[in-house]
Amino acid sequence: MADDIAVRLDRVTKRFGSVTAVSEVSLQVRRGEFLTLLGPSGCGKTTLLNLVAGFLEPDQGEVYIGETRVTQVPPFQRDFGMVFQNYALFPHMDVFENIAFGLRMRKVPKGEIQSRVEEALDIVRLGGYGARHARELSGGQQQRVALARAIVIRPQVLLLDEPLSALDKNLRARMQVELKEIQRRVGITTIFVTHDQGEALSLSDRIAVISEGKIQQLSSPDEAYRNPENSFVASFIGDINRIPARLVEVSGDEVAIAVGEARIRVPKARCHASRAGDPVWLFVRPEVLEPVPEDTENAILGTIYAHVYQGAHIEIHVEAGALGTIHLRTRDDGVMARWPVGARVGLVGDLGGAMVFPRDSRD
Amino acid sequence: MKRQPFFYWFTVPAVVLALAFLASMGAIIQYSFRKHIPGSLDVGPVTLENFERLAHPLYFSVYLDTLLLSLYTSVFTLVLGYPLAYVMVRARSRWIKSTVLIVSIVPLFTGEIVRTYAWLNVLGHNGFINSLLLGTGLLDRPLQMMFTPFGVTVALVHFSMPIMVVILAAAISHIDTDYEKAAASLSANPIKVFWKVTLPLSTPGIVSGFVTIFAWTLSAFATPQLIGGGKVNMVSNIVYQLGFASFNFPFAAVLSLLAVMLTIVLLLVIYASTRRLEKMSLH
Repeated sequence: MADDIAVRLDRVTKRFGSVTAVSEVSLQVRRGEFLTLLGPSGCGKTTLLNLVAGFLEPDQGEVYIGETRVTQVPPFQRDFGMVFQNYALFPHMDVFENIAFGLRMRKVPKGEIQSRVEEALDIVRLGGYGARHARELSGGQQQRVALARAIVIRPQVLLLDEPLSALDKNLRARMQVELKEIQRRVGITTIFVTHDQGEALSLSDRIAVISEGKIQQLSSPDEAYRNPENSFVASFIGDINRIPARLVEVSGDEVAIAVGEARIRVPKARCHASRAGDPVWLFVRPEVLEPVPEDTENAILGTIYAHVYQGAHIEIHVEAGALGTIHLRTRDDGVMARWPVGARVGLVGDLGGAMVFPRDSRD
Repeated sequence: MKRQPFFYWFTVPAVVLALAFLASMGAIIQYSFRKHIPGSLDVGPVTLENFERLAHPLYFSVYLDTLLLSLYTSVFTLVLGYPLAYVMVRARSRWIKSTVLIVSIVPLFTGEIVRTYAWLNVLGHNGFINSLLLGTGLLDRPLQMMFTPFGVTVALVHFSMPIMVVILAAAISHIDTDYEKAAASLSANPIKVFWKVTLPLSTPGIVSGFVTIFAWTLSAFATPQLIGGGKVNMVSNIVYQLGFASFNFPFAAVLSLLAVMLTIVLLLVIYASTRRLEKMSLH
C-alpha cells in the first residue's frame, strides 16, 4: 500500500448486540494530516477511534496502522498515542513520570528518557513543570501534559478523544489554536473525535462527518461547509435554515422551487432532487437572507418573532407558519428598529449558495 | 443555613450506643484496678498488681501469637482476596461476576460457629483432607491440622474473606479504566498495566482491607477456641478462660484493655500512613 497512508480502515463493521455502531466504514488517513471524526453522540465516531486504538475489535473488516495490519493486535502492541477526554493522567505519578511512562515501557535508555521528556515539556510549553503533580495543574495544563505524554513516544498516529470538551469556553478556544500549532510543528498524523462542528471546521485538514455508523462526507472543512453532499451534512455543519419546499420545474441551469407562496430559483448544480413535484428541503445560511417589505415579489413571508443580540451580529427569528422558524443574521444594528417584533416581513437573498435535497414524506 | 432541631433527634441511637460502650469501657477500666479475690465474683480494694502480672512471659507470648496470627490472616486474606475482587469488578461475563460474588459473600451469612464447624470436618483427623490423602495413599498417617496455628489461620482467612473482597472490590471499581487504557496506549502490556497502574491505584483499598481484617482478627474468639482447642490461644481465649473458668475478672479486664489499646495504636499508625498516601495524591 502507499506509504503516505498512516491509518487505513477497510470495510470495518462493529456491532454491539443488535446495534450496529460502525457499518462498513473505509477510511484512509494521510501521513501528517489532521483528520476529524465529526458527528452527534452515538454516531459511532468514538467506536471508530477505539477500533484504531484496539480497545475494540471489529466484527468485520481490517485495520492498518502504517503498513501493518493490526486488526487482531492488542492496543499495547500498536503504535499510537492517545489523549483521553478526562486526560487520564496517572494520579500516583508526577508530570515527569507520566510523560516518561511510555518511554520506560518502550525500553528507551535512561539518558534519552530525560532529554525526550524535557523536549516534550518544552513543546507543550510546560518546561520546568516535571516535578509537579497532575492535580496541582489547571485543566489546560493537564491537557498539555496528556498531549506531551502521547507525543513523546513518537507514535505513527495521535488519537484525540474529545480532548477539549472538559475545558471552559475561552480556554477551549486557546487550546484549539495551540493544539493545531503543536500538531503542525510536530507533523504528527492526528485523528480527532468531536461533536463540535466549530472545532472540526477550525482544526481539520479533512473532516469525516459521521452519522448512524457511516461516513456521510469526507472532505475539507471548506467543502463540507459549502458543498454538503446530503441533508445530514448540510444541517450538521454550520448554522443553517432547513425549510420545507417543493421542486416545481427544472429548466436549463436553474431549478424553480416553491417555498410557501414564493417561487425561488436555485442553480441546478446545487439541487440534489430531480423530479418536478418532489418534496424537498431548502438549506439557506442565515447570513444570506435579508428582510424586505412583505409585498416584495417572491419573498418568503413571515412575522418577526424575536431579536437576539449577539454583539458582533444580530439574529432575527422569523415565524413563517408552515415553513417553521427561519433565522437570519445581520450586522446592521438598524434592523431592530426597522423591523420590530411582530412586524410582517418578507425574506429574500442571493440563493446561489443555497442547497436543495430530497425530502422523505416522513420528514 | 437555618438549623433544623428536628434532625438532632436522629443522633439519639448513636448517643445511646456511645453511652453503652462508654459504660462497658468504664466497667473494664474499673475492674482492672481492683484486687481479685479467688473463688469469689466480688472484687477487693484498688490495686495495681493486675498490671504487674502482665510482665509474665506467658502473656507476652499470647499477645505475640495473636499479633502474628492476625498478620498472617490479613496477608493471606489480602493475597487471596485481591484476585477475587479484581475478577468480580473487571470480568466481562456477568456469569463469572455473580459466581465470584456469591462464592465470596455467602460465607458472611452463615454464622461464625457454623463456619468453624465446617472447618472441623475439613481439617480433622477423619476430615475431608486427611481422608483424601490417606485414601489415595499419599500419606500413611493423618496430617495434624486441628489445634495448630495453621488450621486456625485457614479458618480465620475464610472467615475474613467476604469483608476483604467487599472492601477491595469497592476500591478497584473506583479506578477509572481510562488509566488502564492510557497505560496500554503507552505500550504497557497487561501485566505492566496491573503492576504500574491498577495495583498502585488500589492502595487505599489494600490499606483499609488489611487494617480491617487485622483489627477484626485481633479480637477473634470462636474460631481459635474451636479449631485451636486450647492449644492455640489468642487474647480473647485467655480472657474467656480467666473470666469464666477462674472468675478472675480484674485480670481479664487488664488483658482486654491492653488488646483495645493495641488496636487503637494500630489504627492510628495506619491512619497516619494513609494520610501520607493521600498526600501522594492517591485519592
